[in-house]
Amino acid sequence: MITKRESFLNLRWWKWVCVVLLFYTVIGGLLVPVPRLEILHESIRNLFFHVTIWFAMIIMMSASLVYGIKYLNSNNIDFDIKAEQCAITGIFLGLIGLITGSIWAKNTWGAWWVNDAKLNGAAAAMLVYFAYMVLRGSVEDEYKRARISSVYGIFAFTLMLVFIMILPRLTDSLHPGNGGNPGFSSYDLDNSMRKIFYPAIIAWTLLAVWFTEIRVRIKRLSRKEL
Amino acid sequence: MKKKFQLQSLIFLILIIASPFILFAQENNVDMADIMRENGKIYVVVAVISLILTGFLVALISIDRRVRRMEKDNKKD
Repeated sequence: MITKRESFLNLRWWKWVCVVLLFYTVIGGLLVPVPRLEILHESIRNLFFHVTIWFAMIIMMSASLVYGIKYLNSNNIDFDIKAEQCAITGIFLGLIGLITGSIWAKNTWGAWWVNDAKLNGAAAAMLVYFAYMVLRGSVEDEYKRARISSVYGIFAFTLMLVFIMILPRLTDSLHPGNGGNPGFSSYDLDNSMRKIFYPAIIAWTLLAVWFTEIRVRIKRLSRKEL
Repeated sequence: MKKKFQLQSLIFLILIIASPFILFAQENNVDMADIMRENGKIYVVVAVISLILTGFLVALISIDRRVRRMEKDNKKD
């Protein structure tokens, strides 16, 4: 390097993958031909945004669980920082998922919120993770906080799976893919949509990882300054 | 008089034969953003959203850089 100043383009490779896939998702998601379906109309394109955001949320929560277990195995506080930041990103994504789902529901089902197993389950799962954050905030000692929240994190993840994956499939639900309802994948997701849908999952997940990574690094720096 | 009747029945016959296709066309006549696609205005939306995304990503990358610089300074100390 000639100059000391770092180039703007000097980024880890997966961040460039994220940038490229995000543009691919947004441009492709708006322009790709989609099946013409009653009720859904153009809103079927929300599949590239709303559904993929939920996929990214579940992946972030799984990462939080893994780091929580790693902390319990090692007592290394760095794993606890990662577990916490993954959960924060997951909560962000979950809130975005709830709000975008609500907008979609208003325009296809006719109401902002319906008393549905999937919707209430998603809201309950978010409450479980709010409790995770409250729990973290209420314990002063760093190591005690890490241990308690790692254990609660396992519990929270299990509850989330029950609330958003298992319970909605046991009862009737309006939401596609639940309660005997077919998911989009069975006949609406044609091959042209698949070309956008799978890269979109990777794009949003990488963006979430990027966001988490920056927060983890800031947290590490602020811990060192203490 | 007879010719007019023949013409009418011919039109009627054509309509009957064509009816499955007309019905099919109606079935597929779901409202989509076809007009936006026809006059090209959908590209305006794509351009706007791409610009917003670009701005967001530039901000994210600059935060990334700033954190990296802070990490370097921290190592020197």
